[in-house]
Amino acid sequence: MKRRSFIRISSYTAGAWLLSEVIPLNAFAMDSSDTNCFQPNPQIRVCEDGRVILYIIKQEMGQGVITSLPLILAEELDVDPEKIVIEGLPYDAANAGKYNTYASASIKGAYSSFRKAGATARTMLINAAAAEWNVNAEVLKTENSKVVNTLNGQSINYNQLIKRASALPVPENPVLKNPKDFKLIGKSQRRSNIAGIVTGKALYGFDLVLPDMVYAAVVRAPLFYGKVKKWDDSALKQLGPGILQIVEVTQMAGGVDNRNGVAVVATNSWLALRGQQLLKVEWDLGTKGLFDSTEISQQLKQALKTDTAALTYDKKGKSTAFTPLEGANVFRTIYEMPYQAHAAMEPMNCTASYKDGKYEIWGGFQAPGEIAKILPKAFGVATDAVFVNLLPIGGAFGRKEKVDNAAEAMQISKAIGKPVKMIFSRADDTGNDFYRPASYHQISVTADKTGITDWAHQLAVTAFPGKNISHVHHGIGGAVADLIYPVKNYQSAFYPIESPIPIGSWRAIGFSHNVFVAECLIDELAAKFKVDPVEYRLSILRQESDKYVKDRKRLENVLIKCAEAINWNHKPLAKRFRGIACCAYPHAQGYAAHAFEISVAPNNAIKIHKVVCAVDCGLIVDPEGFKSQIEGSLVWSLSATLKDEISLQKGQVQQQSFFDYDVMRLKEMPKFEIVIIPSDEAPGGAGEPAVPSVSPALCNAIFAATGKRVRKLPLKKEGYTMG
Amino acid sequence: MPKYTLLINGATKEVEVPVAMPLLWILRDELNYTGTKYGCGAGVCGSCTVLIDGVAQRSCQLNAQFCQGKKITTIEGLSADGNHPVQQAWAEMSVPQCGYCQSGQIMAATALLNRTPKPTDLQIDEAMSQNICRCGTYYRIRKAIHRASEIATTKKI
Repeated sequence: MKRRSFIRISSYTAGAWLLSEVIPLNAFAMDSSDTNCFQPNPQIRVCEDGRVILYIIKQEMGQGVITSLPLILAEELDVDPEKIVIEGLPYDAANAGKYNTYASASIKGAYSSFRKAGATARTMLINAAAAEWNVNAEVLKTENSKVVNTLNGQSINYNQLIKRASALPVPENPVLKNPKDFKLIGKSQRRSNIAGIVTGKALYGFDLVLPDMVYAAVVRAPLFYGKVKKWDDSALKQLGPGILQIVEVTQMAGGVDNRNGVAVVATNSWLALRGQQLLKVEWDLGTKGLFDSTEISQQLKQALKTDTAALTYDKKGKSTAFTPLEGANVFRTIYEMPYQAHAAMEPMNCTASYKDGKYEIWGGFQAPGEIAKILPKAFGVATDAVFVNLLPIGGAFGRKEKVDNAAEAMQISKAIGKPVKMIFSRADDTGNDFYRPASYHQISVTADKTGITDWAHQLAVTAFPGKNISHVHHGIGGAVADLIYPVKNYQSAFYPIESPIPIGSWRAIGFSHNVFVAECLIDELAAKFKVDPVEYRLSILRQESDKYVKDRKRLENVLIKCAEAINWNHKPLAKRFRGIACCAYPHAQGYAAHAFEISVAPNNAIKIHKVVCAVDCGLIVDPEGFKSQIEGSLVWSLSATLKDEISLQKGQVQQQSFFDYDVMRLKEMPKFEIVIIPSDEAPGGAGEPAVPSVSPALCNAIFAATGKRVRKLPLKKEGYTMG
Repeated sequence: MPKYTLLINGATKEVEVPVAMPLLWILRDELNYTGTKYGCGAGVCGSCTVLIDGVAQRSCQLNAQFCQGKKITTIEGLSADGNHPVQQAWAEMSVPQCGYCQSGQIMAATALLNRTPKPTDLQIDEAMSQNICRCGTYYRIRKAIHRASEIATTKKI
């Protein structure tokens, strides 16, 4: 029988219970080799040449999906994970949304289905061996890519069973392993792509080379609403014939949100970047959004005072109005947070080739679904006239959900009739981001030392486009994550102002604001009522409530374990002080708490002696990969807490590169201990839950040390330095 | 355009490039050594770190003229088989996340170990703090450098 007919048989038999919610059907059409393979499920192929191919639909951007996901399959299928060949599923416009990779959701989403895929294949291979040997399947077991007869020790490799297994019916409910018998899940693995990375062979979008390709860099309007008036390329003459063409790039709406600009097309990257520096463009900057950061800050404060809330929540969900808390017993407090950039190490880029009415693009994209949804419409072509080759991503953090880079490259390729690699300089990347919004919070509460009665959170935030607050991530109980503690009366209200610069998802989304606010406030209340901050949190968490966090026990537990690890109940050494905070990240089923031990010199130099993070994300598939995420979360969040801010002058982003958008360095990293809570709960996500509690834990420690509350981040701007 | 002869990873390469073209782009666009990464183009992030006569340098800040007659080592030339002690240690300690900055990190670590075979934490901190990683692999970089130092010592014996 020929290979193709195998596939037809297995796809037919698999049809009864296709995991279509996870994998598009075009996996069946995959034709990567000429060996016979058995495909009991769209996600996997077991081949006669010994390979097990796993199709992964999620994008690798450093979070380790191509390491962790194969483990799940290898566990159930009893194969050596090193034998698994990972293939990314080619983009499929009709199912593109399934490729989206965000919200720390990959393991959570794939765990059950990959286990079932592995168990299905294993069951069919056992049944094939049983038929081969004419024995009862119950006496057979699997290990290391073999079926073994437990009665006589006879064994047969999987690859010798391919033909037989292909002809068998697909079991509907294969028996999964008991987690107690896991040999791979929960044991650290070498990262799958490590050899490529340490030898420089790993290929990112920035590295792509196509035959006949040219290079482009775009001079973009310094303001989002700016338009090109005219340009002068006379200075580019000095660069010689390597400068090929100057092409205008137009702003596109409908979610593309690239800027108007002028592209310099050249024979190499450097000439394109040099040409970009030398091209003189005259802009019509318009009159919209010409604000400084101080004015944005004022507008946010003003919106709270004078605007009617655009959206309000109470305990039951969306509500009709916000009622301010009045009275002498109301405790009111404010917090303010700046815009943040993503600043991934691989700057934005995209390669595009336009030919015969169709666009082919190459690059790292977190959300291929956005490509399918937005780009064909923007370019006026059919959905299948845009095809993307998905490449590994050199850091994403939410930025690479956007498709502005693709639209620019597509426009340029169409204009010049050649494949083009369009690259952002670092300054382009810093200045043309989709930023974490800036926000101003006023929280009013009534509380006493036993708990909180009223909680009213007013959140003024920079919105985009217009006053659209969908990017601000409301929902999940009002101001997302603003309240993990039971209260009697809950209200939140949103006051959007129009942002002069675009905003987007940033690692840990709205939690990065709201957990900061809530966890600093709870610390303020504990201090006001002279209660220990850990005890105060625990006593409130243990109260009956109908609101919000499903499993508050897990949050309590990380708080307790974190306090233990920092030795909370024993006094620190002289002049050292501690702060603690916690975060429930319910949609990723992650719970984290951070504690800091610091000292603060009279000149406000902060010395961090130790940081602890206790974290519960359910069952851990790959512990080292998991810890990497928790370490990365601390580095990420410390950069934002201590140093970073995107500021505006007349609507223009002031920062350009790592010299003025500085981030944490190796020598600044404090001693760090991670406490992983052992768990049998289904695996959650690890990329984001341990980001939000870093800032409040540090700021609460600063209060303990100095008696001063931090109302505004980053700390550097409030006069603090790293000691 | 002037012609230059460069010695890259033991091989002689002729290039004809503008005087001001940085080594980074000569490596990447002219010679297809794409392991050396562009991160900032301003010598701030360290992603483009290569070895010039064994010393860590920012390839975005050097031109071909400067590099003539010197030994240039990129990540592709660190070892024939990917088994340089630093590469081994990086794999053992699962250092990379996205991996984009790691060529630069590995080259900086190699240069450190060339001049200080058994570095202290403090020496690692000083040598490695000009290389930025946004995924936050710093703790593992520190551990991996100690491990690479061990591997190198054992190999020599």
